[in-house]
Amino acid sequence: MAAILKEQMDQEQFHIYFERSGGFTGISTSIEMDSRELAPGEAEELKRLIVHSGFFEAITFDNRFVHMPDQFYYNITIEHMGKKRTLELNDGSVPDLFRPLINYLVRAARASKKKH
Amino acid sequence: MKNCVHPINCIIPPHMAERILEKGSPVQKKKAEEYIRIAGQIRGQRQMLAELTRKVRAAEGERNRKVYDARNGSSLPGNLVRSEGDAPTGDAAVDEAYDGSGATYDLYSEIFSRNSIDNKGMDLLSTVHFMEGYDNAFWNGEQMVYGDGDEDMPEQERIYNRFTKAIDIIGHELTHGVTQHEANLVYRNQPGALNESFSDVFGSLVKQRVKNHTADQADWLIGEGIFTSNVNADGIRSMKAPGTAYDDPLLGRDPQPGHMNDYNDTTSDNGGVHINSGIPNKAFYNVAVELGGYAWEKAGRIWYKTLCDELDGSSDFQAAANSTHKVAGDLYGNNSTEQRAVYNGWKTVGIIPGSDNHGGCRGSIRRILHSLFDGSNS
Repeated sequence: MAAILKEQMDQEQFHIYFERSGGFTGISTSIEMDSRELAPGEAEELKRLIVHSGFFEAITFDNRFVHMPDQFYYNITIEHMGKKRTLELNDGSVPDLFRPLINYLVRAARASKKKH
Repeated sequence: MKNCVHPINCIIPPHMAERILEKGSPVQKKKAEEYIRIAGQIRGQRQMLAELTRKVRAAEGERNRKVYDARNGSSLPGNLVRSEGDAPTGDAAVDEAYDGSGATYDLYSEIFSRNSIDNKGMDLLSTVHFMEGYDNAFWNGEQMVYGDGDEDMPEQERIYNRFTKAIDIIGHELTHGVTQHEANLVYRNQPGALNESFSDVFGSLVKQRVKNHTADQADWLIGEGIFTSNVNADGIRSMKAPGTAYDDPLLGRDPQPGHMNDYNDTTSDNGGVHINSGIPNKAFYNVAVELGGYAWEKAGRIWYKTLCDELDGSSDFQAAANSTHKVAGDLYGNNSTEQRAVYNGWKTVGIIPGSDNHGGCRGSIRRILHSLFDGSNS
């Protein structure tokens, strides 16, 4: 029974690497987050945003604007339930569903920088 | 048809009336205006009249600014909040975008005889209050977009103010539009860094002209006032002394080089377009200060003509040095004071105009590596 519970818990865990680069300033910011190191409420919120974005689903991105001057570039890698996916997006291609997740990660990266 | 006051008026197609308005004699223009007014009344198409009038104004070289409010969303352009000739709104971001795009239009029009971004009277469209916590400004190929900084953070933790606060940022973004319609420098590696540099150059000239500063009076900072007092930063970039704009525990240190010896070979940021732009930025500063006076009068003119007539999408730093040197000779004479200043300006950053050495041995090795692994010419 204990082993089954642990397996379920492990399946709930996720690991995120996020980097935002480019922009007018050219100053990049990044953060690495592991659900085991987050407060329970924080982990739940982040998981909700990942599910909302449809990160692991087949999404097509509009990459016509890949060289749009001064836009931000986003590199997001998420490992969850044995799956790993990396997406490279930019302001011209970010679907609206991704915005809440990206905003959350940007705020977390800023707060993390402040702590260090 | 009974409202038709002149038989000719009734059979002129709209595009022909538009053409007459643009190219016709004063008498012809008056008749075409009369036709459009009546046609508009008949068809109830007031919009047609407004649109044609706008096109005529654009053809005649008049500004047409429109500022939109995204209301913290991501849809563009958003809600129209200020049009050409409207009184200030009291919203700082809206009014700064309006005034800044006007000052940029004026620099290009009055100094370089350019009719707006595309040289065909294009409307100047700006969207402010883009998203929440969006610490950025960009040109999307059709318009300028500005965020409010990191206003979503507690005040004591904020790094950025709104991005319309610095007029040179507005000039910078509009110049991306000018570059798009002229040399169309590819936004990657050295052509991309040149693209950024031209935007910094003309953005700075907009600011200098508004402040009536000569080259030695100007601060040559890009993005002055963008950072809050919570960080140790004068601005985002310094054209005078690349690498010195900020040095702060949160931001790190300004990474811009001011010499080819410190060129940053990186793949991030499209090959360091915001980093290596420090080298051509410094070259322009050198030229402007050596020539003295208002930087837009000679150095600006040389750079503008180079952007419009000499460079193409794949031009690198060496091509920019060669071309500005050639243009200085064309405009002011070979071996003139101006051409010598251009030569000295580039030489000081490690690029010899006319030498075709592409930044010395390091530059040659870099080009070979890029051609092998990246497929680009820079």
